[in-house]
Amino acid sequence: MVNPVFFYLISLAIISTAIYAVSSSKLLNAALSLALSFFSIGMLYFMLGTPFMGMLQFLINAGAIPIVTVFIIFMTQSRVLKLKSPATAVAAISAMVMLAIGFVLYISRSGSSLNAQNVTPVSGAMLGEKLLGSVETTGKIGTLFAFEIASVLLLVAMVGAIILTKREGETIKGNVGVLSEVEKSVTQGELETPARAADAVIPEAREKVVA
Amino acid sequence: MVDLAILIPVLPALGWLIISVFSKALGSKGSAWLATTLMAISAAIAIGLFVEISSAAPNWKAEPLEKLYKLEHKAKTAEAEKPTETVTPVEGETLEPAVEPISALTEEAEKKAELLREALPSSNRALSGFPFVREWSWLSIKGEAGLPFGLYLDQTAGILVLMVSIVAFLIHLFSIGYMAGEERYPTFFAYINLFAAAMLAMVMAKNLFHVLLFWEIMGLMSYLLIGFFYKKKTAQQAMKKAFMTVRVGDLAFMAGLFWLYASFKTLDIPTILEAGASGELLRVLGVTAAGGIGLLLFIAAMGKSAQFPLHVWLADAMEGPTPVSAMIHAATMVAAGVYLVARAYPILEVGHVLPFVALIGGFTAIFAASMAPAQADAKKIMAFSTLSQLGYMFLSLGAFGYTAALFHLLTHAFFKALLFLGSGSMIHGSGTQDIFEMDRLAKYQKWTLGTVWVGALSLMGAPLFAGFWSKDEILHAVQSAGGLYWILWLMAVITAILTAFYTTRMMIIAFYKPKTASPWAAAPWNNEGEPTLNMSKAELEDQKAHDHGHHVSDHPHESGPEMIIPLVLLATMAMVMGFVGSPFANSWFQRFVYHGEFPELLPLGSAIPGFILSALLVAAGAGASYMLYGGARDHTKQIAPIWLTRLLQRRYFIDDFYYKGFVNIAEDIQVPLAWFDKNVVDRIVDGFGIVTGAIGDTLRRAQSGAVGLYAWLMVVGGAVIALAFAFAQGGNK
Amino acid sequence: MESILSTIRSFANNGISLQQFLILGGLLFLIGIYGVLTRRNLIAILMSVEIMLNAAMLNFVAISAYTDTVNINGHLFALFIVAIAAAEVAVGLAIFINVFRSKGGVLTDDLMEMKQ
Repeated sequence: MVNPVFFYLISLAIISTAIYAVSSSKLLNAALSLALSFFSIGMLYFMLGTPFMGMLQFLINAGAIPIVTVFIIFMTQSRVLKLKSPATAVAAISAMVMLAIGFVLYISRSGSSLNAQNVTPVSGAMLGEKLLGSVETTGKIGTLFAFEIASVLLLVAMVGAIILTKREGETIKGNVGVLSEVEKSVTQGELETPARAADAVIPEAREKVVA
Repeated sequence: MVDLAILIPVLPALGWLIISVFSKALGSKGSAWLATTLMAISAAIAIGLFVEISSAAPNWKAEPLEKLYKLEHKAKTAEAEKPTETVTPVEGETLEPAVEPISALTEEAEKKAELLREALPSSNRALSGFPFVREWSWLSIKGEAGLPFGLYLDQTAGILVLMVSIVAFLIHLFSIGYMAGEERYPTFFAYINLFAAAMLAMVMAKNLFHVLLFWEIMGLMSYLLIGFFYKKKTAQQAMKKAFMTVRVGDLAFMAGLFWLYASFKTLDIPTILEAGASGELLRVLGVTAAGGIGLLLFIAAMGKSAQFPLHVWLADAMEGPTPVSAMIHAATMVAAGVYLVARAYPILEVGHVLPFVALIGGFTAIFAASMAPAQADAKKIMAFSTLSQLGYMFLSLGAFGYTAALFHLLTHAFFKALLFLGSGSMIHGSGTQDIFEMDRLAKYQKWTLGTVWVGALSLMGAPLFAGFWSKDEILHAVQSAGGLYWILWLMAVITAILTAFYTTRMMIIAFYKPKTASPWAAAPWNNEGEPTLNMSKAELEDQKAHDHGHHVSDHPHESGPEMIIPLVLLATMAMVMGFVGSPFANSWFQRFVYHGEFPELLPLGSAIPGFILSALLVAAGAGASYMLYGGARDHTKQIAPIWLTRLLQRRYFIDDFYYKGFVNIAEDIQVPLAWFDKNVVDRIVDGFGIVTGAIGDTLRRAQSGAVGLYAWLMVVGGAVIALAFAFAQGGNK
Repeated sequence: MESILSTIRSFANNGISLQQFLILGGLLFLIGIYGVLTRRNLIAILMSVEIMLNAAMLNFVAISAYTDTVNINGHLFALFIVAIAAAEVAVGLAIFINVFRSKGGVLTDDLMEMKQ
């Protein structure tokens, strides 16, 4: 049983923050709003009896992704956006409406278990068993292989991100960003010494405090 | 070794593939040595395979087998004489074999069985699993066997694999030196590699369909190789001629296979051989169908092995490089026809086609031999001798001399390869193909002289050389076939004299006579016939330069070791090979080939009168030749009447007749066809191009490059799909 | 008054069915689409795509929680969606940095190179 009061409250939060996230002209605000929206979705997962999924949602979708997004917003100097013309919005909304009608029609004509009321709690242990189980341990073929592929995918994505952002001595056409400033300073050896000095100072200060 | 047998054709085929793709990386020498090495490995495996086959094959005893031969010979000649009278009038009763008194039949059968037991004691029987069969699934349909690819390795296949791989290897080795400096040097090796691979695969194939498949590959490779110097006009002409002429036979081959499959339901060689032995072939096919199929298959063999009337391509095939000629004449192409007839032997036998085979063979033998003495080109002389020797083989096959034909095929392959490579060495050393223009080569080319003499003596059938034993077997087979075969025997004897005559003539003029102008170089009939060959002066000079181009040398010289070594090896073979079928080896070859399935009518070991006769024939031919050309006599003198020389050099005008009869008509037909192609077919094709281009040009405008628009369209598309699904679902409810 | 109270009570007691979750997911998905269609900044588009992914994930988990009590395939799918979304964000943002470096901006208008 999912409590309707909390459900509607949380849904309201999700929808409103999501709308703000896709329509605000201030990109930074939009990103924070997005984090809030994802956080609310995470709460819904708790209500659905899967605390593991909820925690995952908090950590990754509401945590890591918005942080990286914000980081990139700073790097690419795009905190304020120009909004598109109303014509685009109208076109978009008309397409959405068509899609919505299609969905609603499809669901209303097909679903038989749409009115199910009871929720089965799923513990993290159960998820892990299903996810990583193999024929030897659970007697069934689990998703272990897919899981391994996903881990390889993440590794490749990590390596790819590093390689893509690695710079090979080209010039910047537009405004000089945060990254380029750091880069410039390091190559010219300006920031190097102070940074090191700070690193060196802090442990000493700590030691003094402890002493 | 049997499990490795598949490698024998696969390795050279692989060589073709590798050289075709990586010839740049391999370089000229690399390609050549790769091809030769692969061929050498193939030959090594083939030797191992042959040893295994010969140890597993049944080991017949000589004397009882001879008695068996005689018994079957009697039955066979009686039967062979009968059908010529009985078959034609009784149309309805073709399924019934000739009825004989039952008591005589059983008595004969008992005698036969007794002899069989004696000839093949149980300790000498074939090992289990012989003939070896290896099969792989190929073209299987829904789990059914379909058309498996198989190897069938019996005695015939063993002999041919051995012969083809060794000869092909030696030709490869020779080509390394001979072809050096030619354009498209790696391509040449790729081609001959695939050529040899196709032949090897063909002789091992278990299914006649695969025989056809590799047969066609060989046809293509011969086309490409004959036209290897494709810039020469005569080579272009020759390649087309070879391909089109052989195609006539190929068409018959296909028709024969269709007919065979339609009425016998299988193309499996062992099944056919077995059915032939058990009489089932006769029951299922009947004489008419078997005769038709046998005739079609024989026409195929006539095309491939260049028997009269489809012989015209072989002499022109000399336009290819000399190693190719050796390949075509000794190891591959022409041997394929003999092989096919040998494989389909039961069908030909049941269908009473054999007398026809013998007739064609005998006629070709004497017909081709008669043209050789009027030639001035060393390779042309060799070509006509090949025609004539192939005629011998078919004559022998037609006279129930299955074993003798295979024996002659084997020995002929070695001495003919030797002669061709030897003439290659002569051409290489002297810079000309014309024997009159060769300047006392005996003084300069000691090795070539010795080896070519071995080949020439073998070709003549001089005693103790390889050709002697096999030719003798053939003469004996024809002689003992009885009936009207004595006419053919007479023709074969005359052919033997002619062979000795023209071979000696070639040897004398090329090796011992000083250089003179070719007597027929400016003969008025040279430009008769095919007008496309009537070249302008500039073209003629160009051609001449190409003919002699890289070989030009001021004085004759000996060839290098990579050319001499194959010659010496082949000469050794040409001397030794004959003994496997001679009385000295207790007629090992004949006992080996005997299947016990259908009768071979050869006596084991020829009698002394046969030897003496052969020796006399050779002496007569060679002596006549020496009387006319030898010593200090003027060899350029016109001996024959001029009209005869013209007739022989124009090859009895058969080529001209084909040209006028077929080529001209085809050229007349092709004019409207060309118009149709240019104005209708091409227009339609162009139309497709124009329409596609126009559509593309229109659609190109839709690609605005605006990602937003694309995304929007994607969403709309998704909506449409969702709606479609929704309505489809509604319809189902 | 009584009827209103009973309605509220039944509303509170009846709980939420799968249908409501699916509607929520669908709405969220449409919002994401709206973002994708109207935004011009690549980062904003990526954020909208994240919303769409989350909507799908929510639907998966909800369906699995309501109907699939044994196999919980929906949960497993959601887990993989998380992994893929993370990878997508990492690579996508790295690409945006490159785009920014070469074009000086991260707007879709900067990338209209497919048109000749």
